[in-house]
Amino acid sequence: MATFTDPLDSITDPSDWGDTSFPNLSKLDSLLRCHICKDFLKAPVLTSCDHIFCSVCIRRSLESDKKCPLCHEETYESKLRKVLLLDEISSWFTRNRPELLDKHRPTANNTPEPVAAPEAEKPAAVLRYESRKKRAAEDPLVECPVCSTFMSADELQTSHIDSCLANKRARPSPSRPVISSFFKKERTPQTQPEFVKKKPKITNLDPTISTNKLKEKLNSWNLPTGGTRHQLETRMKEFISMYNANLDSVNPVDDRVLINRLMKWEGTYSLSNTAGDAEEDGAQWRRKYKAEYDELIKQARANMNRMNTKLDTTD
Amino acid sequence: MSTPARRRLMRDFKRIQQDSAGGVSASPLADNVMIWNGIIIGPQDTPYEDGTFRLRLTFDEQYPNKPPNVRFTSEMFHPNVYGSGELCLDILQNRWSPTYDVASILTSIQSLLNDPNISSPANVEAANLYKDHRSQYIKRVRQTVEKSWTEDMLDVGDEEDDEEDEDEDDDGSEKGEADDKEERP
Repeated sequence: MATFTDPLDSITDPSDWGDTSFPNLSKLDSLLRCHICKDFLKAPVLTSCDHIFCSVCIRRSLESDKKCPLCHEETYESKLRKVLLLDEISSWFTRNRPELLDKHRPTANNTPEPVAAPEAEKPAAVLRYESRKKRAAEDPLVECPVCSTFMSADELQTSHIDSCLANKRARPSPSRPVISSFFKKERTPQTQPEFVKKKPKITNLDPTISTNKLKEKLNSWNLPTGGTRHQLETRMKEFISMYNANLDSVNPVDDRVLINRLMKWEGTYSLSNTAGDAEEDGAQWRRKYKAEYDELIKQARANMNRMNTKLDTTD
Repeated sequence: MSTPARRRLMRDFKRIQQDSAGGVSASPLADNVMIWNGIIIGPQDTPYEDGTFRLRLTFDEQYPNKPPNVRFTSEMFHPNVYGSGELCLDILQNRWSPTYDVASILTSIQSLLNDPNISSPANVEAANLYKDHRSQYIKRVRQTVEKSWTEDMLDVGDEEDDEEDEDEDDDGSEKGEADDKEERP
């Protein structure tokens, strides 16, 4: 089998539900996917023409073409609105999908598994809460030096202190420590306090900007300023997409995390090979890949009369 | 070394392997996920019926925001296909959308076969015959269909054999069989 970067098994597809006891779940699976990346929606945003995509996907697409990918209507980044509730639904499905898939595997006689009695098994969320409560009882609670919230030492060091220092907007939580750390992990944006200030989005890069000003801009975001003009532009544009997309998500990460991701992305982008030597003429190519083509012909002939599941229908 | 383009291409691969229909298929090269081989079977009830047309698709890191470069590696006779095998198809140029994937690209090309766009001809001879001498056009197309079957038979570095005794059966299902000489890399 081919040696690709990601093993095919780890890639999810709506057709995975086909041979389970609840194949209709493929429809739900498909609805929760971004039409651009085909993965589950992440920080979904709504366009002015009422279509939904991952924030980062539509922002990248709009970099090159100001049209909606689904209806080709003109649309702009400034009109994008985040849909936090959908973000939560999508994350829930992503998290629970493996278990759902497992529970619906075809049984020996193809009958759906009987619904477990509610007392038999506690829902995962309850188990998590209980284990966290146990941990909280074991770990002594410490006070964050910046915002005075109480939490376990572990949480303070690993996740809280960075975002607290960066934003300086970590809210002072009610002084019931166990519950506050429960909420921190559980992502409930509907309970976010009103006084969290909305961070402004970065405006689109003006392509006529001078190189010096561009370097200044990169510098102001702690981004490297090395490379050609084209590289600088690409870096800034990608950072703008990632930064704005981050603001559209239920759980925004710290700017430093973004910068890290950006540099990794840039690293892979420049290293990767693209076409290479695909200049061989038709006949040469056909001969070179005869075995591959034969295999594909076999597959195509086999699926000739199939109707595919037609999941990607738009309005 | 996973970039958004590569991740998306892996998804396209899984999708086309698990869910393709209507006589198309494709897969990336074993050593390069950015280059794909594809097959389109000519649709029933058209002059292209049962043809096994081979393609090559070349992607870059901007996919899916930019379309791949697509060309036929089989010989084609169609108003919108250049002699080089390159296509003149709107969804591969100005009507591209990042929502398209490998399966939808191939299916669109398959539809194009029996529905050429005469106003922007890449192959002027084909366009003219299609307009004015339809039976001639069909004959030329059938020639490429038959050629696509015998492309299966060609050995590496071999001159064309005399195909005097070509099978006449329309089914063509035997023709895809691997012959004795296997050229596995």
